[in-house]
Amino acid sequence: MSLLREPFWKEYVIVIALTVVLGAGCAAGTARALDAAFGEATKSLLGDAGQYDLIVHVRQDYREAAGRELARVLASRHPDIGVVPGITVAGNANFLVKLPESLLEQEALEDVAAGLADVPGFNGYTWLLEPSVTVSGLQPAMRDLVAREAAAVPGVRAAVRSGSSVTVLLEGIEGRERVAAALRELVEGRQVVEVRLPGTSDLNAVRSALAPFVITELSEDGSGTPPSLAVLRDVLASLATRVRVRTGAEPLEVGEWVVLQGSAPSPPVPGAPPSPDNLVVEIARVSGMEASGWIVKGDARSTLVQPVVPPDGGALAAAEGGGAVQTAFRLVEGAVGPAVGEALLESPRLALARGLAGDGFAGRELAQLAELAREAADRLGEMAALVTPEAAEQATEQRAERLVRALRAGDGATAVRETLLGVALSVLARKLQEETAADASGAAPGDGTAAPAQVDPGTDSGGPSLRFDATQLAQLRDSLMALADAAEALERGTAGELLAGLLDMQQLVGSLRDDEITGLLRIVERAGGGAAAEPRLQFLVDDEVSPSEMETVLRRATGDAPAIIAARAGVVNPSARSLLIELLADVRRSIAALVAVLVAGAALVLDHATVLAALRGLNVRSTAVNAAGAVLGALLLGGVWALSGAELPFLGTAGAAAAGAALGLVTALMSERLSPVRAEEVLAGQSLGLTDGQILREIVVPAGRPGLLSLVNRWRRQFR
Amino acid sequence: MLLHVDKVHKRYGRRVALAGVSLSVAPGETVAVMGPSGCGKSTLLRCIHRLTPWDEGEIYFDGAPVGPMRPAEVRRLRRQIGFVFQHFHLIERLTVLDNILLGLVLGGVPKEEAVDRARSALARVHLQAEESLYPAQLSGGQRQRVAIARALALAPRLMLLDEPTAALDPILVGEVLEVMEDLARTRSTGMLVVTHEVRFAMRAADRVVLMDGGAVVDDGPPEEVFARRRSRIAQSYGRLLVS
Repeated sequence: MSLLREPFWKEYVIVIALTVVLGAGCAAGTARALDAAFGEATKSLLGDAGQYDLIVHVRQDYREAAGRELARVLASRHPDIGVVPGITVAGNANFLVKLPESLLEQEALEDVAAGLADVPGFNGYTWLLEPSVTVSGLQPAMRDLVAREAAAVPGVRAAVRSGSSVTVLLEGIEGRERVAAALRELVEGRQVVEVRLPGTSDLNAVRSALAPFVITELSEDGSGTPPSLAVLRDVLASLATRVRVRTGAEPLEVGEWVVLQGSAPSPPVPGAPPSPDNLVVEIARVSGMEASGWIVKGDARSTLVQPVVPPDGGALAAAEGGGAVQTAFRLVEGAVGPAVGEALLESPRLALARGLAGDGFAGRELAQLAELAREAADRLGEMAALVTPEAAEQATEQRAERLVRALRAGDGATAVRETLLGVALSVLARKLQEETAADASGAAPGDGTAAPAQVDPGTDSGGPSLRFDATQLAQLRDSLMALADAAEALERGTAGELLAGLLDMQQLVGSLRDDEITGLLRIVERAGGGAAAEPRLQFLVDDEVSPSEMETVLRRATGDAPAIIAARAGVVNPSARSLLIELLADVRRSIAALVAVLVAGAALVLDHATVLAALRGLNVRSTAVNAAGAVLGALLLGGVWALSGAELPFLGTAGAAAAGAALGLVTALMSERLSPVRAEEVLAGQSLGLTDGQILREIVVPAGRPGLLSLVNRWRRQFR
Repeated sequence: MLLHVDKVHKRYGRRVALAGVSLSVAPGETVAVMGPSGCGKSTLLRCIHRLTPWDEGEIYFDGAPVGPMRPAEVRRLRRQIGFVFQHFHLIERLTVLDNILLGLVLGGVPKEEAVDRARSALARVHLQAEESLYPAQLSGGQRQRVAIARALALAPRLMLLDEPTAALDPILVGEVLEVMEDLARTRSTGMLVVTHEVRFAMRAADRVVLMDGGAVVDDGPPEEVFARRRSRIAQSYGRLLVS
């Protein structure tokens, strides 16, 4: 306190206070100026609160056409719907839509949203419904559950599903907190638990074991994979050539590769690399001495049309059912290794083709299905003509992936999803017909010969046909029956992106080899969140249920070793406008924070580094100088931070003060470099009997960097 | 006795700078401290001026111990003991006059009186005409004379001069020595001068204190010290004097 008796130090304290006040003013002022600018931008983007109900995003280059089509599409729903062009942001043109009161209910709103897919360049939409609360981050089944339960909450006018969100439109603003609380209770007190199981699991036993924990099951198809993807995956899996290996003394492991002769004239030679005609199989499952897997390199079709049967007549009994048997060699470091057993190859594709030409129940049914498929394929051909050349140039695999992602995303466009699935099935069916014809006439598969289905049903073509089970047939029939409706629905659509995907699927599946099917399966499995061999179940459970407890119970009850993954069921957010305003407020607070750091940094370097450096010259202990620097930094940054309302994620005022202390400490440590003080002048001042304050005021500060301190000091200095 | 240094010890880590140094200066007396570089001469002066703390012993100024003084007393002590540095230590942004006024005005001397005293001090070092110049505009000798004037203006009872000519071009040394000899002759102030100038010591000093290895090795009138050549350093200075 004795320091404060000297005028200089009193003024120094005033300078610190002034720095905090002015710095806070500067930070808050900058943030407010930005806030005003953001407010204008928000208004031009979203209109005033309640002015519009929906914002439709379209690609900038489609702006004109999209505007016309949007007006037409919306007018077809209701003549009083108003559309106003908004501003263009980040390549997206926006259209603001005002809906009449009569449309503000769930079904009508979802119908309006579904119709938007027809708008050229459509790139999504955002509900601006007011007053509203949004629940986001929802799994599809959870989304439907939330929509149902939200609709039942008093004060809710409509619960509109879109993507992974539900926008809950309220009767009045006064109910917002109450409804938000009810929704929070619905989703935030719960968690979605995904149970990943081994392929051999009994799903019903799993369900029974977990029943005490479960509020409701969310799995859509019993595997947790979106339904369209699950069917697509099953279809692909059912078409891929299956390889079963019966091993000898040395069992195979999952992930290992084995080499088969394939269509090569002679068996693989140990030590040599596999030839292009060999088949490479990745082992996907091992059960005792039997392993099974998928072909990752090569195509087994020619092998199976003219199977290479081992001299002993076939070691596996199953081969008699219509496959081929070859010796399997382990693949070791890229070369053919020792033989590990006998492999049986089975191609459901060929078997299905043979079945198409057969008599009896299966033959007749399949003939009808093929007719349906032909119709769908014709429609597909017409639609494929709409695909833009630009889209067709893209890599097939990329677009196949994108298509799968679109399928998985759901996004409310169920019809489109199912259509794509149906088209995929129809393409597969047509391909099978071509193969059937090729088999019958001796032509190569895929040469375009569309002869009627006349295939030798018996052993003449290389083996008897596979017997289909009724479930498999029914599944395929249902899918193809749905295809007709779905294809019709798609006819109305003009979304170039989806059509591009269609064309890819047509091209891709039409020429699929076994390794390509395996590749596609992997894409589907990745997108669907797991392999067919690893079923998944999803449950909604209370937040307090521990996944590890579920795992223990499951392990004890079924002996399975599941992986259990828990995630929040959803998050309740304010409306899009409130969210944007909140986001802008975050930006404002962040800007204030940055300005606060700049102000504190500048003050430390310009004003205080000089004083800290001088204190060292005045023989103040180094630790005391460093401590003074830290305290100064904490005061400056903490003060400016608190007064300006600055905020950064995970950094409150206390954190800012700590950061300021660190900044101040660094300034103190580097003070002599940041603001060099002439030690000999300080020494001269001491030798003349001057006080430290006099030395700082008359000698040190005037020679230091210009700042607030030098400005204030100038008024009281005696020697100018 | 104006100044009495009593068995003062000072170490910098393991290095001994002062090993029990004792000496005294009477009012108006000029004492030359001589010795090889690093023998502790400058450290002794800094201890007397309380610019450097010492480890053992005591220093008395006007009979009062300097060690236990509080900061305000130290500042008063410094105003009574002028200090002239080897490298002048002038304030570069101030004029010659302001450099001299600085200690006076901030020490509480009224402005008019301070200006009179500053000009008077400048006259004693023959620099009246240069009062409005800045240090950078002066020669080394002139700068050192300004530094002497700055110390003199405070009317000190004792002046400590730390090798005032060591940083000067040999041609400029004479003008500074002349001023110092004038000061010694007037006996208005006691002077403790660290120097290597043997002739200055012979002509102006009342006593010579020879130091070596942080200790006083001889103390007495210059002619006697150089004549009896009691120490190795005295022999060296004696030879220098003869040559």
